[in-house]
Amino acid sequence: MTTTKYSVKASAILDELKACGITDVVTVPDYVQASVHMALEAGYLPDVRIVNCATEDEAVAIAYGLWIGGRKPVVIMQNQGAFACANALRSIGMNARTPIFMMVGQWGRELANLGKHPGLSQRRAVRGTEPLLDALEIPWYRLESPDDIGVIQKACKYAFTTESPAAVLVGAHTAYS
Amino acid sequence: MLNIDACKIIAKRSPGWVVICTMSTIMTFPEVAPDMLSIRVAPLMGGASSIGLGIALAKPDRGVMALDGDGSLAMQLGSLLTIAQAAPKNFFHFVFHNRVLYEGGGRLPIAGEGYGDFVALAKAAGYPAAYSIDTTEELESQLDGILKGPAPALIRLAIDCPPTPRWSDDNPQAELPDWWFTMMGQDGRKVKQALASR
Repeated sequence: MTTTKYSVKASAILDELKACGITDVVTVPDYVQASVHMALEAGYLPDVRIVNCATEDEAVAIAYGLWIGGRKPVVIMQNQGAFACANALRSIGMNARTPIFMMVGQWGRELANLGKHPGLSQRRAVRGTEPLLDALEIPWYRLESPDDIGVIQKACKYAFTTESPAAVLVGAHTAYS
Repeated sequence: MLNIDACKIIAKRSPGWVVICTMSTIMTFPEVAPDMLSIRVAPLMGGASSIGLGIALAKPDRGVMALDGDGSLAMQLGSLLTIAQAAPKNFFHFVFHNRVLYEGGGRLPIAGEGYGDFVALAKAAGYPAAYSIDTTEELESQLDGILKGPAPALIRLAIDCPPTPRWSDDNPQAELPDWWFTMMGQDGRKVKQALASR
């Protein structure tokens, strides 16, 4: 895949995370949001700590610990990671009622599906992500193009005011400039 | 050593610490240290050390312990790498090595028992310190030094299963009560409030 008119700039995403007051990025790095990771690694948000994890289960649990300690983390992963950590989201996110604020890349999405409903994707990982979150009773917000940038603050506000998970689904590869 | 005896020794040495309990220590640690800042991690296997890592990173001046199980650590072995890289100087990772799942009645086999070596795994992952302790006497005599030493550290404890009967039709496993599903969140909020006010 490539950068398209649907791609949101990494800087725009990180500016929104800064506006949200995010203190830590807990992550198994995402293919779709690679430009976001690279900008972070390059120091775009110098006060934000990056915690690299072996699994998304860990990322969710570390985010819980950070929140207990007074921090405001975001978890960045891809849709495969959301499938992988479903039980941690159920337990920590829903049972324990924790603000797990997630940015989830729609890894594997075909160009032909951009601009269309993700449920029409030919890729199971893509079209299954929203139903997965629905099954977990976790609200999600589509970031399908630069016009949707406001959903990041909306999702973050939902997570931390209701103390429950929320996900931004990043629909297209993020842009580098 | 028995789980509860290990918990008693640990609790004595850690006033003011945050203690993350999981698996068999969910019942025993709060029993011996009801007033300590502790979080019972369930229903979730494998998450205790990562929750502890998050708190340790957020509160670097506060001692944090995870009382992990062998089966639960086996589920998230990669967390050893994550913890080693994050390198919290205030985090101590105990592994209650009882060699089974459901110590109180099931005592079913865990993956890798008899093959793996948690101390070697921790060292290979990059923990600056890892110890193996077989008896309560060793734990009593060594724990102070361990807690003053390099961290993150893993401390493998050889735990004997209690002499309770195994589950059977006459002694079946209990129904899980509703509070089992809400205690982690309640404990987390209590600790969050306490950490914010101190």
